[in-house]
Order: sequence, then C-alpha cells, then structure tokens
Amino acid sequence: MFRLQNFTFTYAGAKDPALRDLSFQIAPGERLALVGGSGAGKSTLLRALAGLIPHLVAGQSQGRLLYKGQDWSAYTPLERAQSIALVGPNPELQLSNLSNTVAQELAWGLENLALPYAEIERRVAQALERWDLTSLACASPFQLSSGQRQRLALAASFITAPRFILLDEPSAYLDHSSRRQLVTYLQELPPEVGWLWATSRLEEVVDLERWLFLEDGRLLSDAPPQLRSLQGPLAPAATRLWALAHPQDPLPQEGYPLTLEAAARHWQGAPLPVRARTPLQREEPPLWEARGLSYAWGEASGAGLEEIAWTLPAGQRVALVGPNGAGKSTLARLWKGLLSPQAGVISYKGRPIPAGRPQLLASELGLIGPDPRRQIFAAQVREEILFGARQLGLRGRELEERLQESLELTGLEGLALAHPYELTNSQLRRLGWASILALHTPTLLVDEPSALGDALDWEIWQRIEEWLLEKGTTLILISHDWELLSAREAEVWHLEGGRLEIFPTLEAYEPRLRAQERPAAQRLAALLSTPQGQDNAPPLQIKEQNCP
Amino acid sequence: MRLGGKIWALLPLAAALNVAGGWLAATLKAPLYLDSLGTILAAALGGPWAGVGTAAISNLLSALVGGPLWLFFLPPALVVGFLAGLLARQGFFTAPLKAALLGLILGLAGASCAAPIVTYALQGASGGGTDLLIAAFRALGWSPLQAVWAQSLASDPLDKILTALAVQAFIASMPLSLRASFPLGPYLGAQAPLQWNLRRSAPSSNAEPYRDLAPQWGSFYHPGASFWHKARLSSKGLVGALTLVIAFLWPWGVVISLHPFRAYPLIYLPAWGLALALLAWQARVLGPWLKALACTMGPLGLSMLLLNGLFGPQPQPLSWEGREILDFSLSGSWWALERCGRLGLVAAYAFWLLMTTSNRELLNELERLGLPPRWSYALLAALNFVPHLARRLTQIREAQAARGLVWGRGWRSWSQWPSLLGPLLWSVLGEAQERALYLESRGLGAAPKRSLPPPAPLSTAEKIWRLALGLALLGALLYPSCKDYV
Repeated sequence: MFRLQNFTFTYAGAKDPALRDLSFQIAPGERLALVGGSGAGKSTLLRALAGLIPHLVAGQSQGRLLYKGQDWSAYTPLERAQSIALVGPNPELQLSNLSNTVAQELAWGLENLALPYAEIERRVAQALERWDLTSLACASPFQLSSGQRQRLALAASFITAPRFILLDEPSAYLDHSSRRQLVTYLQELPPEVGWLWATSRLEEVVDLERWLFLEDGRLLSDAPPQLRSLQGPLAPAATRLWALAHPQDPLPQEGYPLTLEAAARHWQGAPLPVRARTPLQREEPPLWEARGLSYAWGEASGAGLEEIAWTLPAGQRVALVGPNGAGKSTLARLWKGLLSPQAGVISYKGRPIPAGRPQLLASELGLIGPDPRRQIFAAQVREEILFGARQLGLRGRELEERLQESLELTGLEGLALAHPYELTNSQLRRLGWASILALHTPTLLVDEPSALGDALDWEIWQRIEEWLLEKGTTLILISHDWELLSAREAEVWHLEGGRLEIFPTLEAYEPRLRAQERPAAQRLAALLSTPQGQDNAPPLQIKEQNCP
Repeated sequence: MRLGGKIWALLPLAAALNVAGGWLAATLKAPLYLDSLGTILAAALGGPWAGVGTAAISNLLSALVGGPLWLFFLPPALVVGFLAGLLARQGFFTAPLKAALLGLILGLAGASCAAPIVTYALQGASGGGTDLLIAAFRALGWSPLQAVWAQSLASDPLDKILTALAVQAFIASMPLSLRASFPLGPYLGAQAPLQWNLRRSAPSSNAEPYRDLAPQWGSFYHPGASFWHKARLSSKGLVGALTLVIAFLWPWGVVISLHPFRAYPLIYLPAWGLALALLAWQARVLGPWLKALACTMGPLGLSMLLLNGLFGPQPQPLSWEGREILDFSLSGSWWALERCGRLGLVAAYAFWLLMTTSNRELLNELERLGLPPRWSYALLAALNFVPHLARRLTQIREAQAARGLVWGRGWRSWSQWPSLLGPLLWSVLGEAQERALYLESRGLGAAPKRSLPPPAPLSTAEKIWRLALGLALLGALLYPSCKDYV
C-alpha cells in the first residue's frame, strides 16, 4: 500500500531533518504500530503518510513516498481524503468548529466527499450508535469534555470508510471504556482496511505483529515486538518506553534482555504495589472541605455534579478517577474558583472561598491543566515560569532560585530562553508543570498528567512526585491511567453520574478497578498463553545502515 | 506567486483582524483606520496575493456587517495588500526601521488611492475618527478636496507605519518554526522573542472579581427553535431584499412635509427598523440584537451627526439664553441621520440574519450560491474568528488569574491588553495551521461541490410569510415610481 524509499523530510527553517532516510513498506490491510518517544518524528511521518507533507506542510523532502505504486503527491485531495483518515491527539483541533451539533460534525466530512445525502444520514446514525454518542447527538461540540470530543473526532475520521487509518496518540484523552471501544472498532474493521497506531505507550500496541521503532527521525527497527535481545541503539529507547508503561516497575533493573515472559509474569500475578501509609493527623478544621457542591452544564451535556462533599486533610493524596465526561475537570475548575458552583461551598482551613476569585488562592492551590497549550501564554520559557512567582511578589535572587529549581525539576535546563511554541509536545507539557510548580503551593491539583506524555515525562513526573512528597504537598491527581495511580498511597475518589464515591485506600477500590479493563495485563497474559515459538524467535533485526 | 495551502489557515484570521481593527478604530474614534493589520500581516507572511485576498474578504465581511460603505475602501485596500507583499519579499520586515519605511510607502500609496473616493463618493464622511481631522481642515477654510487630501496625508502614513511596526513586532515574537512554514518565511529575519514584563502588586481583595467565564457559543448564532430559526434562508433573504430596497431605492432627501404619502425617510426608516425589531423579538433575540446594533451604529451615527451638523450647508445659529453659541446645520444633520438610518437598517438585518441562522446553514447556503467549499469555509471561519479569539482569551486570562494576576480596574485593566495580543495571535495562528491539516485529511475542499442536506419541507406558515414578503417586496419596488400618483 505504502512504500517509502529513502524518504527524508526537513521542516522549512529547521536545521536537522525530522525524518531521515526512511525505507519500508506497508501492505494493504496491514496493522502495525509506530513507537518512539516525543520528538522522534512520529507525527511528521503520519503527516507524510496522510499526504499532507509536500502539499500543506512547508519543507524539503527527498526520496520517494509511493501509494499503490504511484507518487502519493500526484493523487488529488479527493482521492487522498477517500483513502486515508488521520486522527490526532488533540481533540480541539480536529473539528470543523462550524457545526451546531455532534451529528452535523459527523456529516461534515461526508459532505466534503459529496456522498448522496441518504447515505450520509445512514452512516451518521451508525456512527452515533457505534461510538456511544447517541445521547450527545444534539449537543454542541463546544460543550463536550475533552474525552467526549476525542471520541467525536475518532468517529468523524472513521466515518469516511478509509482504506488506511493513521492514529497519532489517539487515546491520550480517552477513558478505559472508550479506549476499549477504539480497540474493538479497529479489530472489527474489514480485513482490507489497515491502520498504523503511533504511540509512546508500549502496552497499547503490545499485541500488534509489527512495530516500527522511530528515534530521532530514523527507523531503528522494523520487526515483531519480541522484546528480547534488545541491545545496541535500541536499548535506551526500549528502556524509556518501558519506564513509560510502568513508572514504578522494577523490571529495568533486571537488565537486558527484557523478555516478554518476564513482563507478563510481572503484570499477571502481581498485586497492585501499594506503599505503607503513614497515618495523617486529622486536624480541625480540615485543610479542604466541600459541602453540597452542585454544578450543571446545560441541557444537552449530561447530569453535572450533584451535592458533592469531601474532607481533605493536609498532606493527603487523592486519585480522582471516573469515565469521560463525568465532570472531573469541572470539579477541578470549581475547586480552583474558575467556575462558580450553583450550590454548595468549598472551604479552606474552615473559611469558605469566594467563587470567581482564583487569584486569592494563587499561593495556596495550584492547578495543572490537561492541555498545556491552554495555559501557556508568554513568548519565552523563563517568562512563563516566573509569571506566577512574580504575581506572588517574589523578586531578585529568590525569583532566579525558583526558576532554576523548576527548570531542573522538569528537565528543561538550557531552554530558559526558548519560545514555548518551539518546544516539543513533551517539553511543552513539562513547561506547563514548571509554571505551576514554581508557585510552591501547598495543595496541587493535576488534571491528566499522563495525557500526551512519553517515557521521559513519566520518569520526570516520578521525580516531581517525590519532591512534592518531601514538601508534604496535598496532591489531587486526576487521571484515566490506573498505572499512574496504582503505586500511590492515595485515597481514591470515583466520580460517575454526578456522584462522588470516596474509597479510603486503593485496596478498597480494587474490586471496582478489576471490573474495568487492565489492558496491559490481560493482553500480555493472552499472548503468553499462546506460545508462538518463544525460543526459536529470531533476534531483533537491527538495520545497520540506519544506525548512527 | 501561488497561494500555498497554509494560507487557507491565515486568510480568515487576517481578514477577521482587519474587521476587528476597523471596528475598534471606529468605536474609539481614533484618527486612524487600523483596518489593514490583517492585510499587511498576511502579505508579510504569504506574499502579495495573500494580501489581496485578505483585503477582499475583509472588506466584503465589513460590508456585510457594517453596510456597503466599506466597499468604497476596497481599491485602496487591495493596493496596500499587494504592495506590502511585494515589499516584504525585499526584506522590509526584518527590522523595525525598515518596517516603518514600508509603512510610509504604503500610506502614501493608500492615500492617493483613497482620497478621490472619499471626496467624490462620500463627500468627506467615512464615519470614522478621521472625519474629525477632515472637519478640522475644513474649519481652516480649505476646500473639501484639499481637506480630504490633507487628512489622508496625515492619517494614512501614520496608520500604516504603526500597523507595519506592529506586524514587524509580532513577526519577531513568532516561533521560528511557525514563521518558516509560510511562503515568505525566509524573508522575515532572525528571531528576537519579545519579553512581556508584567509587574503587578500582590493579590488584594478589592480587585475586580474574576468573571465566571463559562464556555461560550462559538458564533453570533443564538440557538433557538423559533419560526425564524427554522425558516429557510431564502425566506430570510426576502426580508433582506425588502430591507435593501427600502434602504437604498426608496426616495432620498428629506422632505419636511405633512403630506401623508410624500417621501418621508425619517418615518419609513424607523418604521422598517421597528419591523425588524419585531422580527428579532419573534425570534427571541431582541436583547443581543439591540446590543450589537447599539455597539456598531451608535458611534458611527454620533460622529456623522456631529460632523455634518457642524460643517453642513446653511448653518443656523443655535442660541442658549439669548446668546449664540454655535452654528449648527440642520440640513446637514438630517442628511447624516438619513444615511445612518439607511446603513443601520442593513446592519440591523445582518445581525438578525446571523443571530437566527447557524454557521452550518450559512455555509450550506453559500455553497448553494456556488462559492467553492474552501472559500465559504474561509469566509465563515473569519466571521467566527472574534468569538474564537474570545474563547482563547478566556483561557489565557484564566491561566493568568490562576497564577495570581489581578486584573485592575479602569485604565489598569486596559493597559494589560497589549501584552496579551501577541500570545493570543500566535497561538491562534498555530492552532489554525494545525487544524488545517486535520480538516484537509477530512476532505475539506476535496470535491468541487459538497453534498448538502435536503431542505425541510415548507410549512404553511412559512408559505404565507413568503407570499406576504414577496408582495411587500413588489410593492416596495413599485413605490418610488408610483408615489407621485397616489
């Protein structure tokens, strides 16, 4: 289907190529993974495969990119749009922004392809059902949560019945059931439809038969994912990918080669690692308290929050979990004072906090949002990080110390003078963290720290958590990723259908968790139970000519 | 000199920037235009044809919202856009000093193109703050042509120099990779990030409370289920045709007479305005409709009234307590009122239309009219740019407030806006570019004609309305020629 011959691409204005000398083929109907860290060139490769590169993205390309034996750029936009679908990580940027309803947005792509209208209506109805959007069919796309919007973006891309689907970190904002929906959908596609899943999360693609490893724009390996004999240039990439999937994992310490069996053994039987908890002193009044908190979004978008209450002592850690659209982000915004509740009150140290005055709590409560682009506004990394500290009245040497500390914590040393939009997604995300960490708030709300993250991010986030632990920070972590939450000595707050259930420990929450999918463990266990020639598997082929 | 793919992301943004700047200048009554910011930006990034395209789209948009007066300023805008693109290729945006020189050249070119139009077609009134300058020159005893020329030579170069400097500063603060992705990227010089240094006092409780900024609806459209929300665009088009006939074909000139069937603009213009208000009330959008109308027509009306009152023909002394204080031309004021009324009717209709018609319907209708899908998308994206910018601004203000920034009252709150403008624009620009990639892969512009949903069947009520409106339109067309026989 695709054939790349020594394909190299350099963005206009960049010194180094983003893709270097790539040569590989993809057969019709083939399903494969593209793995690599942030900045490895995954998105660029997907843009090239989507046919956008010589056409819409400025830059220099060399080598050839063939689709069905012909130069890809020679196809018309209509042919390209009919054969390929591209799904990106950011739900904000994939919608037309001109639709009043979810159903209209789904129809938009089909209208572009000039299909007969009866067919459009049939497919829209099908997609609404398939993607569990029927109840939201008449909601405005502007009113959906990030996860719901990503589901809409997925449905809107697949509705054109493409021959090949390009997925760029599609699950960053999805909850477990939506991820499962996506995987099921992909598996049930007719055999002639192929797809490529680009990700930096090992466990998402662990049962695919072919992996393309991309590092620094080069293809390091193109092979089935037997994780044995991982030596040479692949090893660091694998370590990072490994750490990404399992931040608390002891496996990398066992050294190389990593084996699939070891990984599965680790995941399959192992209970969730839970650290011993130090009992917290229940002071009076509690640090945070909420009573009867209610918030409704409006008619078409679901139930909202109903009469939510909690008590939170200083130093406690909380894992706030729940399905897409349950209101986790809304709860965080209410807490921070960015939204006003319709009823109820949140108090800090016994005093109710006024809604709509987030400034008053700037030094007490930090909020790290899910999308760094929303919260970054300065034209320089340094200015972005110091903005908050300046507002708190810090000057001179103190300010410089905060800057250095935040840069070191987030691994952004040397980038203090860069422009935020010059950074990679991963660096941008960490800049978002740094700008809030510099405030040294005793309470920190973190909304989806794992969305869009890569291996390095996870390592760094571990370091930051250690640091926060030392400082005794009260931490509220909102996430879909139970892997991220599993090792924390945390209370689990489960938000669903507008109600908040509080489980004092992770063990208490475990039955609930087991009911949900544990993708890595299950799929790896399944792989292990069907032995596929583990001993005579060939060692991983490393392409000599592509190695640095 | 072809329009690259990325320009599709740029044109709507730039056009909307023009419209917003133009309205800002009109509202602030500044002796500047500020309506070429987008044109020059697009030309600097995309070349001459991007400048020309932006000028065309934005003047058409302004004409749609603000009345046909804006069409008179299309030729000078096209000249400025084209010239800016040509000069940008020569590296005029690499340094502030060069940009200022470029502004001077553009200003002189624009002035020599605009002055004859303002003099002969508009008799000196363009409705902006520049009119005050013209008035001042007229007061020196100069002829209309002289006054307009003098005003043009004072305003245009200053306006274009400031605009070019702003564009240069903006380009300098743009991320290098973003800049490089535009056709003229190589001509724009090295990067020098601007530093926004906001120093504000520590939070205090008497600060302006931060407003609860819930997600906003992304357009002028006010969703609803009224008759006019469901009505076809062609039915609403009949109202538009009727409005245009009354505003521009019905007799001109004020005749103060008590004869009931004489030309009476000061009766039939407000009467039709009232009818439009009733339609807005019927569609349940009266409140926002009145607000939009007041925000746009209010300043224009006041300035035209003042200008023509002070410098119109046959000035009559106004006295107060027996003393003459001012010469005021009554016929000039009537003239201004009449023109404002006619323009106001068009604006009133445009707001009513935009508030009751969703983006999607407009998009479909533009395509039914034969506009290619890409152009209609660009036009609507431009129309929605202001609401979009407002959403992005909300995000930034939220992020700043969450980190302790206190927005001051009065002037202090205004002084914080310039620091937001750069980040606001480059982030929206970057987003627009990325969105273009995904929309392209979803087939935007792939087929020359999109398939459109079949229109819903006409209800009986709508048929009756259409009949009535059609008859009224016929009557309105015949009225000017028959009125003398009545």
